[in-house]
Amino acid sequence: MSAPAPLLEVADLATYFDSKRGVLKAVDGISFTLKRGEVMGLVGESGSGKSVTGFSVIGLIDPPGRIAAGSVKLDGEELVGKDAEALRTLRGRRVAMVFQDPMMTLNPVLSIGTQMRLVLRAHEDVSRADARRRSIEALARVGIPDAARRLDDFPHQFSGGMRQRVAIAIALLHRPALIIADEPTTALDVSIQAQILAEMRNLVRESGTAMIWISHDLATVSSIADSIAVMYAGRIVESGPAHEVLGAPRHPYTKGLLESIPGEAPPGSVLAQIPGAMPSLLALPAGCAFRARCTYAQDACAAMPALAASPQGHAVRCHFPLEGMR
Amino acid sequence: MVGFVIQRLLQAGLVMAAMSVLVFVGVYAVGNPIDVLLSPNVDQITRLETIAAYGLDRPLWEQYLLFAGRLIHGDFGRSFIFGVPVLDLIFSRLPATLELTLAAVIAATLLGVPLGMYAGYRPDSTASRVIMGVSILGFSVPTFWVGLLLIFVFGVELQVLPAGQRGETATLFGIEWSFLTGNGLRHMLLPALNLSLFKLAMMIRLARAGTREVMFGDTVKFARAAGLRERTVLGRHVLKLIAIPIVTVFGLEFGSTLAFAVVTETIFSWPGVGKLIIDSIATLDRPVMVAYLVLVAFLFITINLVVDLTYAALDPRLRRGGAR
Repeated sequence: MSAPAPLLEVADLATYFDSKRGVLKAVDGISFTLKRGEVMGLVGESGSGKSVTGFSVIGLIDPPGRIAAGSVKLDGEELVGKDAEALRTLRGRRVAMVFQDPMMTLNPVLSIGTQMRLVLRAHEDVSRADARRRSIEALARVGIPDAARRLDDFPHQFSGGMRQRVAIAIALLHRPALIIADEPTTALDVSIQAQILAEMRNLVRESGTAMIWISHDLATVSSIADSIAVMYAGRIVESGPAHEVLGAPRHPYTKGLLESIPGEAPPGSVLAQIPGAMPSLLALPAGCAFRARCTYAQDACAAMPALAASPQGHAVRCHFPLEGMR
Repeated sequence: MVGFVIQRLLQAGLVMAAMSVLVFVGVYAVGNPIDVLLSPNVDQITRLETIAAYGLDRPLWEQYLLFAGRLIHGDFGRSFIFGVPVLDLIFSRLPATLELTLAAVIAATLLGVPLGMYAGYRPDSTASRVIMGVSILGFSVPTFWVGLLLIFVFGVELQVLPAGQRGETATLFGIEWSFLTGNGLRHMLLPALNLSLFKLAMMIRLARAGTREVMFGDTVKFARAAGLRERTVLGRHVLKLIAIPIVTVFGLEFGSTLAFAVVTETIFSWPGVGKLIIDSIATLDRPVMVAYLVLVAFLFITINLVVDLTYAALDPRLRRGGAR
């Protein structure tokens, strides 16, 4: 047996959007790998490029966006530059995606059964009866009670949590090797969030599916991810095994994010904030993009630091990385 | 659902009653039909007799009650001019207008919706710009002018299509239809084209606006992420999402064209109800005017009801007792 090749290999991926005011570098040279069955948390605030990364991987960047450079390899097969039809046959079958708000993603005027059948038929020639049977199985798998009867229901007849389960069932229909979950619990109640989180963790574990869990919420990421990559202004600023990144953050930005989680602070105390806002992606400063908000910034930060990894695979893009242990 | 329909039918009855009063009073104010019916040199006795014969000597409210009483029994009265029952007159003309209108509205929809969806799907392509240019023309060029142009080009210069009348007809359900014969279809082509241009323009705009909005939505993103073919995304997801405004406009346009295809029918001497109403106004043929306008009100109410029922069929969220 040879060493297992990574399922997903993203190298120096850059996705730019051409706008009237210039080139918006939403993703600017990121690299990561994902093993089979591995769950990676992709963390960052709004506009950091995490969602665009997800869409870039499945080839769903619409003009004016474009993948400007880099490579995305799934099972060693290069996806960047593949034609639209080849990418389509890949989507939903080998890589599936779950979105934030199931109220918006499911079509309100088609029954769940119809929507699932359309997805099945996108990749396989299935009869109506087979489609029905497989859809019921998929719904039952994500914990929807009375799945056979609910198949003819419409999205508005489900509760928020049930709707997201339906979306997850659709994503799992073709048993993909990779699921990209773009903030799948953000639109849900906190109690439902925990359920869905546990459900997805079990589902990917059982089926050996790898997952990229995109979120701005470090708390949920920490409970599901094996590894974590923190993005800031289109670049990965810190990555590594989840326990390393969360337990001993080395980038000041990661540390700031962790300190702004309520769970860690004594009740009643004012939560720490990261001062300022992310710079415009149209006019990124030279050097470290975080330096204007960083309390540790020095003159050297005007030059872009490299992403330097420790032997344990804990990488950080900082001239003055913090020394472990909080 | 049954309750809903009954409720709407009761509303329809009220609207029609109100409409009949409005129309009756309005038509009464337009002028005296006796002046048209009789030549000016008729003697005074004949004149009074005629007035009495038509019941025009009674007060307005009494005339209305008599009219309403007959109406309840389905009797709209007789035409002053033709001397035949008004309903017979209208229904002898209605099929001509009905087939012309249906042809125009259906053609406009079947052509306009795909064109509009394409223009919304690929807004920057050359084809889309051409489509949108055509739709602006369809909106802004007056119908009568296009009609004259069509007659001039196809009827007079090229002499490829007939420019007037219904042509041969065939009988179906005891009614004469032009669309059942080749010759009749050829006669229908130009007036139907003339009528459909404006509707085509509107359908294009509606479909384009709807498609543009839906294409950026998460539903399309999710469908694409699941690997659906673009034509499935457009044909199954987008079409159904943009259907409601299209059905609305289809209904309204169908109704208003059916009632007021006057200009086109006049230009192409198409013997439909539009021409009938214009003629009856010119001759102050009150019973025809009143009956026609009350029927138009009924038509709109019926169409709106059908449109509402179609909504429920298209969008499950509008069905009663749906949410669980």
